[in-house]
Amino acid sequence: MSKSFAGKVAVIQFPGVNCEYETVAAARSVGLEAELFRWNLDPGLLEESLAVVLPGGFSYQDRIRAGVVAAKDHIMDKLSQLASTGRPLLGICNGAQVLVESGFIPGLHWERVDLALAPNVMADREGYYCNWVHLRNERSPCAWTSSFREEEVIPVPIAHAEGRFVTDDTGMLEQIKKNGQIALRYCTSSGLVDPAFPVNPNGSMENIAGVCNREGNVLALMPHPERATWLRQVPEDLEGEWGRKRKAAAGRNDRMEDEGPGRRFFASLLSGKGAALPGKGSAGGISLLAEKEGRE
Amino acid sequence: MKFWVELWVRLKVVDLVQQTAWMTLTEKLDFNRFLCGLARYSYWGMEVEGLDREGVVREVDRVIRMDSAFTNQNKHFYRLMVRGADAAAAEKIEERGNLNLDRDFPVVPGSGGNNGPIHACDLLIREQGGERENGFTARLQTRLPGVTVRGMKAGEVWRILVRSKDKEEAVRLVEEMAVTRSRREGLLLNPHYQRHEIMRTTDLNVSKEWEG
Amino acid sequence: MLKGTIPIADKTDAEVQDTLRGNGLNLTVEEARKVAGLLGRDPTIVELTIFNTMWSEHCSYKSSRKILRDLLPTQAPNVVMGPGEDAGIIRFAPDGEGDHYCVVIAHESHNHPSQVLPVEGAATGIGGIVRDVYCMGADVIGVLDPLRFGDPAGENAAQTLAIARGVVEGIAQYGNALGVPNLGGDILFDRGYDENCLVNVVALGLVKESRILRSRVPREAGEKKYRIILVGKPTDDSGFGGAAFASEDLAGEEEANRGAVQVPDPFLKRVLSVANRQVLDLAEERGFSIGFKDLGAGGIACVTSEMADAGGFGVKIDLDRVNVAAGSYPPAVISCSETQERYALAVPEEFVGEVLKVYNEDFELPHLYHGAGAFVIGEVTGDQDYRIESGGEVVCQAPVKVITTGIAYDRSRKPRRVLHQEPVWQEGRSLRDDFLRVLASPNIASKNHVFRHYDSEVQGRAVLRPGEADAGVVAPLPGEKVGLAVAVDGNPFYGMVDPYSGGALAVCEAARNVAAVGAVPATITDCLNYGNPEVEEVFWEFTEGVRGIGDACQGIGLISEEGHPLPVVSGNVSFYNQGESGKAIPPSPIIACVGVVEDYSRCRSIQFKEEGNIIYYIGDTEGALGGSEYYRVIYKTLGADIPEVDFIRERNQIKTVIEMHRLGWINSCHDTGQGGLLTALAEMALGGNGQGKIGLTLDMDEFPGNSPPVEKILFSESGGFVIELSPGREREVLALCARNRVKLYKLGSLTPYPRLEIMSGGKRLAVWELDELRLVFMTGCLDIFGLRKGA
Repeated sequence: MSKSFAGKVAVIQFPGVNCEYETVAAARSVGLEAELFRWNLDPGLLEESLAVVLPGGFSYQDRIRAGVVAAKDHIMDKLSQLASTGRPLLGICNGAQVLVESGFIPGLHWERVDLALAPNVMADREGYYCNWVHLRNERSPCAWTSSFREEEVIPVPIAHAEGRFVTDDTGMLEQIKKNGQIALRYCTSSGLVDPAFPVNPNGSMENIAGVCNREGNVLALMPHPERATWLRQVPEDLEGEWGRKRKAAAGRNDRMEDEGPGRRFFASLLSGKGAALPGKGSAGGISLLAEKEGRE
Repeated sequence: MKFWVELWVRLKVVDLVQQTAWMTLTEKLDFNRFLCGLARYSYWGMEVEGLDREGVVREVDRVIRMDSAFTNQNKHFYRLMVRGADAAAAEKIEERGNLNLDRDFPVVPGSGGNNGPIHACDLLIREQGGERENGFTARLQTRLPGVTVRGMKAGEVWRILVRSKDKEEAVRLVEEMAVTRSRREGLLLNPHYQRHEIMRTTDLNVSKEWEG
Repeated sequence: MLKGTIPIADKTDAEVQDTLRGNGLNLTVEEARKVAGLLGRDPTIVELTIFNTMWSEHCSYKSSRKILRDLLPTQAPNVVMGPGEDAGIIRFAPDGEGDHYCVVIAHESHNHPSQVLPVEGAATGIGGIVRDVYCMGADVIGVLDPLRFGDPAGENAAQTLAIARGVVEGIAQYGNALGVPNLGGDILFDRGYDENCLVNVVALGLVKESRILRSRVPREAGEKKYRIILVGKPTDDSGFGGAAFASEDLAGEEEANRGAVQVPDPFLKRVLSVANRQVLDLAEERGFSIGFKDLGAGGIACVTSEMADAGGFGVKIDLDRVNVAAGSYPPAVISCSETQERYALAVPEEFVGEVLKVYNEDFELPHLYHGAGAFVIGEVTGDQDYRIESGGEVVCQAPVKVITTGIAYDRSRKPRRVLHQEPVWQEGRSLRDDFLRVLASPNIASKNHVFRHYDSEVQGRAVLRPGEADAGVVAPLPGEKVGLAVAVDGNPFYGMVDPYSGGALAVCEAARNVAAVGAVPATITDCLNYGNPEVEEVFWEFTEGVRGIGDACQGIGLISEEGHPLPVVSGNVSFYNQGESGKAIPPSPIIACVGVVEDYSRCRSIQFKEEGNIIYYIGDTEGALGGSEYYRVIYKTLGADIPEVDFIRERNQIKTVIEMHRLGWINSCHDTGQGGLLTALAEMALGGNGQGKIGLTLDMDEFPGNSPPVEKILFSESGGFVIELSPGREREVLALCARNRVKLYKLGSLTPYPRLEIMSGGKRLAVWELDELRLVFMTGCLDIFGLRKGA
């Protein structure tokens, strides 16, 4: 069990998460080394990791409240220490919920819970909602979005029942805005931030799709970039540039493994503010059967 | 006439949410020294106006038994309580259902350490904004001719059993368990979109009846 | 010695009957005597309970087995495993190293439980079907759910709505949390399902041929000691009698049946599947042969006896070692309880420690669910005996072969005589208004609202999602070109008129759906939902439906390998679908078809792609409207003239469309199913998400002069394809169609105007703005599934 995670992206496998394999594959698609890390392994093994990702799914089946049970797990002590000292940490969907319930995000008062990811508020429906949405990359210190242009429109899927960023503390919200911590907002395919459903798919304040900490190394992101990492994953009916690109590639299998819109979240680790040199890149692509979890 | 109506609903089968909450509170948050029982209910409390008590009880009972948004008889126990809204009439309570709230105190043997007598706190958690509650009000209203529904409180009640020296300490412990203020504090609600209130605290040593 | 035998042999029929009912058993007196005869003595209560489950209709196929065996083709060159185990398996691509990638498919019903507790019933349905696929050693890569509900505006509307919403919620709760994408499904409404909904579930899995696991004790158990491990949730009584329950009709006993419904737990299932994968990989690495099977109906006793039987060994189980939930349960309950989320493994003694460690320590099952874990509960024995002990006493002991003895009935049948009539044709109706009504019908209107409730993206393999095309498509092996397409179908309205056609056309339609995205139909599964088989007319409907399915499989054939049938590799029979009134549901065979496409990048959505492209129709214009949504909505009748069953035509059309896909000609393609040609065109204009903006002017003059009234052409559901091709291909297209002997009609070309327009003889018959079609189509089901304040 003492496999080394030095120089690697560790994808934490809490019980009940279900996006861990494709998240590992997405990280590998940009040449990073990535491995699963079971929640109850020795947290010390993460010491030399390049970055940590909390993948999507339903840790502890969202019982009580999405993310809150995992937030109390022992491994979070280690992640708290790593994140507060600058280690890149990304929470996707359920992972974002864990980060908010842990108080890493917004993180102005470290570990104090200053936000919630509340149940979606939508027109004519409630509960779970899965669809492709568009994000606008805002000016922010975020390490995970540094390879996107400012105001670039990024289509990615969402799939959640509790994704509405809210806070009771309006002063806090202003502070977050001022700090540029709202890294991504839901928008139309042309980049317009419209607060109405379905552009804002869950009723989030300020159309927030992703919030980073003030330093930018931690990002809580509700949408799923690992589901938009290859061109083949983009629906051809999708409005906007990426849908057109996918349509143009129809019948051209050689283009299917090209970059998709979400891949650059991981690529950001290789450049700019996220810069940390990875170890030797391993080949991308999810293997047929589940990736083997690290064991001796 | 005005009445105050309460509906409590509990699962007949194992409650996995309750189980996870128990494990988290006792194993990860160190409340094993106090916590000695936990139950979870869906809760609706509302003020209604109707002609007479019997009519209100009968109609509300009919609707909540039929409508799976409130109960499904195959998977739930429930307790419906109707009392007069004014102080004089409040004493008399009309009840329906198969859930005996006065005895539903699931003490886990050997738990909760040695910190005094057992107190049971009923903690109500509701979502802010009241949209869900408005939905329930409308839903009930369309099915209840002759009854006007006002002032709805809908949410989840956790009945939390703790060993504490007195009621005040019990309430303090329950709030510590419930309100998530930081990573290490609180589990059951996030105050940025949920509200809570302690509905009542019972000293189980005084009222022995529950041991049944 | 044997404990707790129940006297049967020397008792009267009435006494035996009392004993059976008193013990909650559904066996008939005759069956109980047969059990005693097989054992050569009076059975114990545990033994009777085992037979009670094993001989239920659900497990034994006692009414249907012979018909299925005689009428359905199950063999073809691509078949690895046909019906018999939990799921069927076909090969779909070589791995380049002498092995093959295989697709595993299983198909079941969970009708009765969903009627009683919609959320839990549907969720447990998903939970059960994925277990059937997992236990073959496969990873589950998708689920589909064909659903049939009552009339949402009928007498039973309130219950129907509660069931429909509950079922969707249950599917979402389980599938989303488990992390298995939803690949599609269909939803139909008819008052015939007012008292008995249908919740069918299909699961697809992926496995390499060499790594398929069998549900049996491995041969190696002859050489070394093998242990039986039970892993998962602690055994309780919550599902006790569930298998028997699934085969009883719903006679208003919903309250009493509560205990028969399961408590689903997708969280535990997810952790178990990750842990299982680790155990299987470990076994592979160590070179250990293991047996693996999920616990479904009949629990520990059925599963371990079947594993023993399949391997040719005996098994001894000690109930005292089974992890049970709080409470005390009699041996019969522990032996046969259907508690969810459990698996049984047969592993060599030397591997036991590692297996237990993975489940109990690495994945901490006991900490994730109170009382869960992996435990050794028995051992494989060299004799051929099946034995269960409890409290040091033997509560069941018989040769394995006796325990697994089947039972069969020859049911009699008699045609149901119903006179169906064509309605009197009404001249001068408004085509414009009629189409808007058809499009708004809940059977036609978009199910997008429901699909959005399911996770269709998880695992990252999605190519075409529910609603985007006729079939769901995944890229199962990222980096490889090959794609898998899957669709479900089963239109009850044909079956109501003629049950043979109902079966045959369900296969045709499912195969067409798969072909519409360019995939070659490779196998089907069938879930046969009917009423009480002891009613002669119902058994006739069943037999006719199966005959139709069998004929269609032969008639369409395996297009990838001439001379072979389209094989049926798995399926399920669900009888006793009827309500309190005793009225059976419409004959409802539901088919799932899996197709293989060489290059998934050629699979296109149904949405129109580009102005100026030409729209063609491959099909015919016989104009049969029987069973159509048009008749049902506009004429309020089923009619009599349902579409003709013509397998040669189906085959030719399917081949043609697949060929066009291979040539890369297709920009969009949609089969004409429910709602007919005009509905198909509107769906293409709107697209799966209702965002389309490209219009079409449809020229009816293209159809020959002696054609039937336009409504018959536009609304007939006789089947065909609409395709969108780039201009300038006409000559090649005509040649291809002529070669394949299919009729081709050029309907018109795509316009920049967002409207659908129908012209005839230079005159405009009708026009609709896409925005008005969009509104009607996208909101037609909102009253059913949407959230209306106060509703």
